[in-house]
Amino acid sequence: MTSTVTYTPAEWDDWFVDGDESAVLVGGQVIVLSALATAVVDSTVRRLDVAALTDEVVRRFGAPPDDDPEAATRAVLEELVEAGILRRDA
Amino acid sequence: MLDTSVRLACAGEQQRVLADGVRAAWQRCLEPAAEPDVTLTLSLDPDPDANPGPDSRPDLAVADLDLLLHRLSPLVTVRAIDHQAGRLLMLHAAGVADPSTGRTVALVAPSGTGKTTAARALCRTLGYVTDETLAVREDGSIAVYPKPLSVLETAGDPHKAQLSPDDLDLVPAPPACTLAGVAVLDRDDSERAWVEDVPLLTALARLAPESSYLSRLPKPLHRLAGAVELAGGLKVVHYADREQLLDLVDDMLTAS
Repeated sequence: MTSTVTYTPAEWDDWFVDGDESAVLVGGQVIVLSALATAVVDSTVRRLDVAALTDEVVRRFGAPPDDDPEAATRAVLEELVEAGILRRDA
Repeated sequence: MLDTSVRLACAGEQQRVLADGVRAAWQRCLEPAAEPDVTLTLSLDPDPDANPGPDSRPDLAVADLDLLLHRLSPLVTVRAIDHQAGRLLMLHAAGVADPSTGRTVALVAPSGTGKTTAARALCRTLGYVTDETLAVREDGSIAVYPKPLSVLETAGDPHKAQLSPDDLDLVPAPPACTLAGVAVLDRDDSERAWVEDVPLLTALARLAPESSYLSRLPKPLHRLAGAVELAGGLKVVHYADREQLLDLVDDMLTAS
C-alpha cells in the first residue's frame, strides 16, 4: 500500500452523529461506529489525508501501545472500507 | 388509512358476497370515495380464471371468500406501503392509543411474534391503531391503519380468519394520534415485568430492520432518530402476560 491511497465516504444513505459516536445507514443496514471510527469517518468527509488523520487521531485518542500509529489508522480505514462505509481510491 | 386511498374493485359471479365481506372486514378503513392512490381488482368466482373486465386481470382471483380475505390483507398492506415509500416512517409495529389523548405507543415485533396478540389484548381498553404497520408522519402524528386482524379461530384451520376490530370489540383509535412511545416486545417467563432503555444509536440499529423503505426517506436516520427521541427513547418491554404489558404501556402513555 502506498501513501497515494486516499479514502472517501462511500455512498451511504445517511450518517447520524450522536455525541462522539455515530451510526451509518448503508445497504439497508445500520452500523454503529465507535468514537474512534466516527472521528476517522469525519476526517474523510473533511478530506484529510492519512497522515493528517493519523495526527488528529493520536491527538484525540493517544498513540496505540503496540503499533505504528499510521498503520493502526490504516487498519481502521480498511475495516470501514470492508463495511462499505468508506471507499479506497488508489 | 396509512394516508393512502385504496380502491378495491369487486368482480366475479359472487361479486356482492365479496363486496359485503370486504366491507365488513375492513369496516374501520372505509372512507368516502375519492381518487384512489391504489386500485386492486378482486374476483370471487367458482371459476378462478374468470375475467372480471375487458382490460384487467384481477390482482386476486379466488373461489373462497375466507381465502380471498386472508390473501387480501397483506396485499393491501404491501401496496399501501409501496405508495408511501419516501414519505411515512413505517415500523413493523402494533399501535395502541390512549382513547382520550391520542398518545400512541408503537409495539415493535417481527411478523408472527405477537403484534396481533398484543393489540387484541390491549385494545379492550386502549384505541386500536393497527396490528401491522405503524406509520409516523414527519410531525410525529400517526397515519392510522385499523386493518382486520388475522386470527386463527380453530386449531387446524387452513388459514387465519380476517376479523374486523369491531367484531373483536376493540376500542376505536381517536381521530388524532401522535407518537408517544416506541417499545420492542419481548414476551418471556419473567415473573416481574421490566423495561430496558436502549441507547439512541443502538435503537436505530434495532429499529431499521423493523421498518419499511427506511432508505427511501430523506435523511432516514435523522427521521428515525427524531421519532425515537419524540417517543422518549426506545424501550424493550419484558413481560409474561397481558396485565403486565398493559401496566407498562399505561406508564408509557402517561409519561411526560
